[in-house]
Amino acid sequence: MAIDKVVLTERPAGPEPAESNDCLEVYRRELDYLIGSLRRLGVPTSDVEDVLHEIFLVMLRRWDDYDRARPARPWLFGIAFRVASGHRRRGHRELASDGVEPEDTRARPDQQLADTQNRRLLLEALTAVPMERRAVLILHEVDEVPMRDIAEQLSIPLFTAYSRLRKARRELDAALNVLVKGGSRAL
Amino acid sequence: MLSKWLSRLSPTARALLAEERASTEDEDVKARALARAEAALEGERWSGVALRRAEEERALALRSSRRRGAVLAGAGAVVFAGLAVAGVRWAAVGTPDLESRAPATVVTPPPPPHGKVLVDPAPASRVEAAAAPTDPAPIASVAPAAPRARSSSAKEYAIELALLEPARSSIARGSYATALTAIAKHQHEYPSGQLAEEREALRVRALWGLGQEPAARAAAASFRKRYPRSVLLSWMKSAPAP
Repeated sequence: MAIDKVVLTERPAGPEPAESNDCLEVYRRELDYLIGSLRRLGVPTSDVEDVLHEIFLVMLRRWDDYDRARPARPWLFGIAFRVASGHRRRGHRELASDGVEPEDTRARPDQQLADTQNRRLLLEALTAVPMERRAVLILHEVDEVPMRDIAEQLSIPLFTAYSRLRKARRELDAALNVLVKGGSRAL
Repeated sequence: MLSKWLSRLSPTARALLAEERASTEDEDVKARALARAEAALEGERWSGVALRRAEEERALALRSSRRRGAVLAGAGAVVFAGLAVAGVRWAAVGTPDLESRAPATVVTPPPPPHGKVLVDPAPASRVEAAAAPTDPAPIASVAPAAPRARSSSAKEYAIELALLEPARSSIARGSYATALTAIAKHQHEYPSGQLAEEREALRVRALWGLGQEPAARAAAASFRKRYPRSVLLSWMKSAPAP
């Protein structure tokens, strides 16, 4: 039977194509930041891609709530932190098991080649800092966010933010000390 | 003093953190993340085709192979990412009605992405032109793919997929003209390949996205002729009489 008349109808849509393209564009632009944040938050290399995709799905779901006039990174870091924390709670262990061995035996060989030794060292040491304090440390020392903004972003008093930074710095240095000098003290 | 109380980081820590600030991530990881994000978006869109992850693809591949009347050797043994119907929610929508109908009203086409107006947006309803397609998009005649060794078939499938994936992602981005280029390339290399049906579905979608309505309708009509049982483009309907 010949069909010479066909009507193309509009399917009731999910997110507007333009909107979800915007979301995708932000995702694309901030991929380095997102991946880096996840790794700094201790997500193992083998899990990064799945956790990263979870972030994208959260971004899509919450896109309407995101005020486009404000910078993306605070919003994205919050999502990354929550998703990474949730990932850990579900029983995925962090990069380090006991913190003494600098090798990440679960990293793919090619990923190990891509990372510098310095980077692996830092990421390993970061796992010694508990998540709440690590967030402040990362935001301040890596993302260079002013402390007042960090406090606002994390909804904590400014003094609490400083207090966490202080402890985190000490914890990071202690961990580095063990890793670099091969100290016998376990973390 | 605040800085004393805060206790400065060691030089080692400061140096490592400075490096971390400058670090970039693995390009392959990024590329895969983007492809996956686009695929997720595509599932939300009304494009009619979507890429799925390899694990999800197994069941669909089996289903589609039955649809084509071919038998995949070693059921389930071949796992590959492929094109498939997007979104369960509208697999059930729009069972194609093959009878020709009287001229019907046209529903407003969706707005093109990025705010570009490619064609004057149609008013709420108008009467469809009654002409039969005069010059359908050139489509090679379809012969059922000859049975091939499983390994070469899977390899060729992968090549076909690599050719068509740019078309799919272009459509996801709203770059319909770019999609047609990739479609033409696949047509040239694999005119009756394993993904010919998906290609033609993408073609309809791309033409529609470009606002080339007559060409889109012609391609849709040809598609229906060639693949009457296809579940792709299930969002396409024949119009009921007004």
